[in-house]
Amino acid sequence: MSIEEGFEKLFLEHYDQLFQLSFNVLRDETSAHDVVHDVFEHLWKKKEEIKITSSMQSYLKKSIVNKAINHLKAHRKHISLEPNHIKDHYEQSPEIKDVDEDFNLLLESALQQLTPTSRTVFILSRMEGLDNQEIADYLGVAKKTVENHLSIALKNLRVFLEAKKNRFPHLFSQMVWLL
Amino acid sequence: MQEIIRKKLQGEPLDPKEATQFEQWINTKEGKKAFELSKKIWDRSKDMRLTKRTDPGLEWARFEKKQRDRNVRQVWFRYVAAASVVLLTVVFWFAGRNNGQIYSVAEGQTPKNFELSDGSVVWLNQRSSLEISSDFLKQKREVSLKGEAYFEITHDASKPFVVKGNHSTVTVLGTSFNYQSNDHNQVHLISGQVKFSTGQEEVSLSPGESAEAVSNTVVLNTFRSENFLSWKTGKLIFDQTKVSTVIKDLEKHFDVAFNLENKALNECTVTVTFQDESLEEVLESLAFILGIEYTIEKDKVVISKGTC
Repeated sequence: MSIEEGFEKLFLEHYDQLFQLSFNVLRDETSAHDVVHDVFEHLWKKKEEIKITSSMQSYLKKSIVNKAINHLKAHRKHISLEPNHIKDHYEQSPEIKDVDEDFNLLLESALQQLTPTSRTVFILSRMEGLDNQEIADYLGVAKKTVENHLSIALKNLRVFLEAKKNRFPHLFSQMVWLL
Repeated sequence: MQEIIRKKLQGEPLDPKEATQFEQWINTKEGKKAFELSKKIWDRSKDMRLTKRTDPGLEWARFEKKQRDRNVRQVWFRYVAAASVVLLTVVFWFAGRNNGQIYSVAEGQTPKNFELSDGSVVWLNQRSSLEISSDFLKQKREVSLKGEAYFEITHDASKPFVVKGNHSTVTVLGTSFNYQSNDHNQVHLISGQVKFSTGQEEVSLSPGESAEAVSNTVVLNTFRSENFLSWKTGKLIFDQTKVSTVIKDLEKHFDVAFNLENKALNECTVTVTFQDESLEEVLESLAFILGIEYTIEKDKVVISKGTC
């Protein structure tokens, strides 16, 4: 198998999985594809040196996460998908009431207000189901840093939603009722 | 407290001091509310994983083509460097065939780009046309513009590039700039140097400067935002930009008129980036940021309510 064929195999095997990761962090389809292509392009330039090992997959995932964070930093405050379109892509489509669907949309908007790293840490933790140590390895930071990002993300999401409460009181009526 | 909430939600044990702190906090009305909301965010976000089908085969085809094109380009450049004399001959030959050519983009069409026989590249906006003079490249490079275009001009000091508009003219050595020649006659210079002339008055521009023809005189300005290029790039960047400016840029980009009912909103600032978004998508984002309401009627947008 030539180097090119080997590379093609690697690309085809990992593309979908890497895209889903990238899509989840960026929440924008075009950017998500761009980031995956960028990672492979970087790899292509040094394809003669690649040795396919078992750690290839985690290397690729790590690259995706870091490229995605850089992408978010470069497009700061970029409103990616209109929140209304996002719901078409939820993996789970829980049968939730209309009021609650709106809560998801607000949460999507709130996610976009977080700093790139906090947002990524939160998404990797909650939606990708990674534990704090795994996230720390992906980002190349200490576990404690990941925990700080999570705490801050959670707090900022809450503050953001509380601020919206006055504007969208009906979304919160259920909760107030609960208390 | 935010660290304790995280520990609680991630199921980590609290030390006795933290546990007491948490107990006290959760028994206040505020604390109880805040924790409930945190828990709802935590639980709900678990089900917000996005997914979309991909076609890896198609992506591979895209990827491979891009790498191949890059290689071809590299080889081509090397070839050109070695054989520039041959290339020049070819360019002149092409110039001969290009007599009196007109490029145009109709209303509602997407902007087009093309390369002129001297290697200069032009992006033409909708409702615009560019006529290449029949003796293009013989003594000078002359074209006439109606509407709006962005130019990247190949340097050739011996043959200045001249763009004639309806009330003004731009003369270029080698540079990139945006030229609007419709109801406004305006040029924005990105790099290099151009001369802008109305017939009565002539100024030289430096990069970052814009000039506009106002009843035969030239008004010189500087610009920082590159939103005037949004028709070409699809990108609108606002960084603590006043709503009054945002509206001007959106009016030009979407070719619509805005009617702002709440004039106080003009002084609010907005920080947001849009890339290839529709008018509705942009307005939705602004509605979210500013709490405005909007209606779109044909080419008119009415904005009401909203605060900073």
